[in-house]
Amino acid sequence: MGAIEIRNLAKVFSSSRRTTHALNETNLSIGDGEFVCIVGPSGCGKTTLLNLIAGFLSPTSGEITVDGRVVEGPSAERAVVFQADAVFPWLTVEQNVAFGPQVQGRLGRGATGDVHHYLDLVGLADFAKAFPKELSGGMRKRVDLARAYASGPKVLLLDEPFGALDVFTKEAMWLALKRVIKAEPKTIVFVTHDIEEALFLGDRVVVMTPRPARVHSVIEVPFGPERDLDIRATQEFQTLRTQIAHTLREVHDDAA
Amino acid sequence: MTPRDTSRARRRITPGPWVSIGVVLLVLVLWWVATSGTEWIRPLYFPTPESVGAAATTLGSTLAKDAGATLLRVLVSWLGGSALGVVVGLLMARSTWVMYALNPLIEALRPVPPVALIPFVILWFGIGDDGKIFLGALGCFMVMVVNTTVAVGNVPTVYRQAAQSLGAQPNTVYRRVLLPAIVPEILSGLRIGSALAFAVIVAAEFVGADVGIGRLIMQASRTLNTPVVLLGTVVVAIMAVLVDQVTTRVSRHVTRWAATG
Repeated sequence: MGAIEIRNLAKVFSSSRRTTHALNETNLSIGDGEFVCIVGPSGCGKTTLLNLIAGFLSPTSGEITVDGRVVEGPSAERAVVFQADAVFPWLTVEQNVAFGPQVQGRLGRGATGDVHHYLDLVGLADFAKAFPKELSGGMRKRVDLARAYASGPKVLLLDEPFGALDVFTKEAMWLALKRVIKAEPKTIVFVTHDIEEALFLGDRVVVMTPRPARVHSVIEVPFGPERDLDIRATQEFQTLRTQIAHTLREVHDDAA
Repeated sequence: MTPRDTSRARRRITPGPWVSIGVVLLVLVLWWVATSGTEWIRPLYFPTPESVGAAATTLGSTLAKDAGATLLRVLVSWLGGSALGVVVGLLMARSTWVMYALNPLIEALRPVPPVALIPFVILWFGIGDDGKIFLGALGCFMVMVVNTTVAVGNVPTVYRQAAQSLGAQPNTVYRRVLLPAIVPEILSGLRIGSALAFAVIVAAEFVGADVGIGRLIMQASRTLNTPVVLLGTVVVAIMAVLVDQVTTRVSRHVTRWAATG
């Protein structure tokens, strides 16, 4: 469960000085259990789209449904992993991961339930009692991922989650994410400006363009579910990568 | 680390608490040398350590009573005023109505030194505990209202959004995200507040009080009894340092999660 339908979605930000069309007439169907990556340069509305799906913003027109129900605000069925550090620093790793089940009333305060299962999945079993400040940036992202998963969402929304990490940590995070998804499949919407990241992770890559902010094209990624890091060296991967890069460069030059 | 680095580190003298203790001892010795030892400074301008010690023994239980009265006023006004400040600050941060209603009053009163209100306070409350506690509490309240509203504004939006998307209802977000997130700033407001409370309360005791360190200092100064004046000052300093130490210890434990601990 977790199919997302986006229909005629538009978002306009108005202030007294100007109106910004952050998103124009966007349509997209995301199947249950599908991994969709959204790429585009900054200012193309990809984060706006994610915030609309998360329910942090409400659409100016159009609608988003998850399993047929219209999104009307944030909810536990749609967990979000942000680029910014959103792990609660005053809670231990374990308490962070238990936060979702606890506030949903599925877990008593102080109880841990299947928290350790999720910590195992992301490889942080030894750090259950640590405070986030004792962890590296990559490890905090793992906590964030485990926390999102433990809250039992249908859909996982990731907004450039690994954008602030170095290349090696980033690759390790890709593999960790793949492992978690394999263990427990979810519908995933992953926003990034890294084409390689999008092609490595996604079943489909949605290319968005700025001014007007809209979906330019959708690319099927032909690599199947099992991928290792070396796939990036293949001709097929590089061709797709170049193709997307060209598209983005074109629209970027048009806009700039 | 290379062995050369280690040997260098061993030779270098590393700073630590011993520096602070050393400086305090040095000041005490200099004090003694400048007054008793050489009489560079006349005892009237700065009394000798012996005379301050003698004053403490002579005063005995009176001193304890004065110190106790001051400390009690400080603690009540500090904790009471700060608690009220946090509550009002939270209300202002939560409701735009409350913010618009209270902000001009608070912004107008904030720069006014509480001691400027002493004449009114004596008129309203007399020279007992109430007026002094009111003044101290007012000072701490102002510090805490501002600290709290700023702290709430500083809570990153992602914390709130993350909590919501993990299934937290608005009340839960408030209780389990907003309140814990502002604790470090509340505690630093408490530290500022305790120093302020001592200053305001002792000043209020100068102007009129039946008991308290401020009264002791003022009375002694009328007869140029400078050993007692200095003794009173030292007692205030010691009490203030002790209160601050306890606050710091407690806050270090409570906010051991914070990045700078």
